[in-house]
Amino acid sequence: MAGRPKSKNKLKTVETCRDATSLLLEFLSEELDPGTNSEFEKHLQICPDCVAFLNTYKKTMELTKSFLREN
Amino acid sequence: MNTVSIKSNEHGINVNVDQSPTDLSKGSDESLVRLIAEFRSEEALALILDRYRERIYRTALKVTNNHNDAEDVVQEVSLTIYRKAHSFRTDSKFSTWLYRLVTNEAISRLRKIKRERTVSLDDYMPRFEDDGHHAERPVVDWSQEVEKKVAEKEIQSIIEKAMQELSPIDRTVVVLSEIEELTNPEIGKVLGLSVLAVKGRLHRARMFLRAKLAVQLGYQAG
Ligand SMILES: [Zn+2]
Repeated sequence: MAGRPKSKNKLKTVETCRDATSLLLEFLSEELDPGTNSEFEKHLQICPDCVAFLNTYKKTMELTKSFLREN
Repeated sequence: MNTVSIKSNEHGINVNVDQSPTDLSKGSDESLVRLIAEFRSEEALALILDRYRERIYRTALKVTNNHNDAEDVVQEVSLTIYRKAHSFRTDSKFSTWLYRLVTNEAISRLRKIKRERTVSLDDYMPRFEDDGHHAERPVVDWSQEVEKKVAEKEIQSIIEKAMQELSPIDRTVVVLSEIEELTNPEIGKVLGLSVLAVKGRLHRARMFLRAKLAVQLGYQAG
């Protein structure tokens, strides 16, 4: 089957930072279903802590990649 | 070196028997592996190694963090391709099979020479209040300042050290994902893990590396 596989994930609620943190990987790889994705983004709008966590998580990935490519 | 000099193909496999080396070199990975399996073609093996030696070495080096080990893995995997070509299933992707050989060899080497890590990733996971908020607030966003504050060499050494503290499997997941750019299902096939398990390991490894960087910068881990 071509294209993106259908997500089997049900809509997840993103009420807390704990919820948001657990979905970071799938958010960044664009695997969340649209409903959960917009819940996630809504949480980011009201939560600077999760924005900071997301930014530093992404930065870590970036630094890890460049470390692995360097050597 | 043997040459491919098969006059007939009783197995009904689509092999061009009059292929010169230059023709062989255009063959797909899968067709070359079939030549190795069916006719013990060393020429086909050499071509496969030309294509993949660098990738085998790079992956092995990232997992073992040791040049000698990485060289040994290349040697061992070359032999394994030759010996086990018959076990390659033609309906699967050659690179997935190859990554499996490489990571198996690299991980088993690590298990022989190194004790298992004593660090528990749990100690580095973010903590939350009962209501689900981050326990350490505010979470500091150091993403913009890290490279201004810390020399590149130092960042590299923090990451290198933290990578070594990951278990061989977790480290392999990170290498396959962040540098080889395999998808999570592909990593699952290579390592015999479910996609869920791959995601869990990758996410925890990233949070561990993030916490290590944060702490070195003088901030709370989570
Ligand atoms: Zn939050």
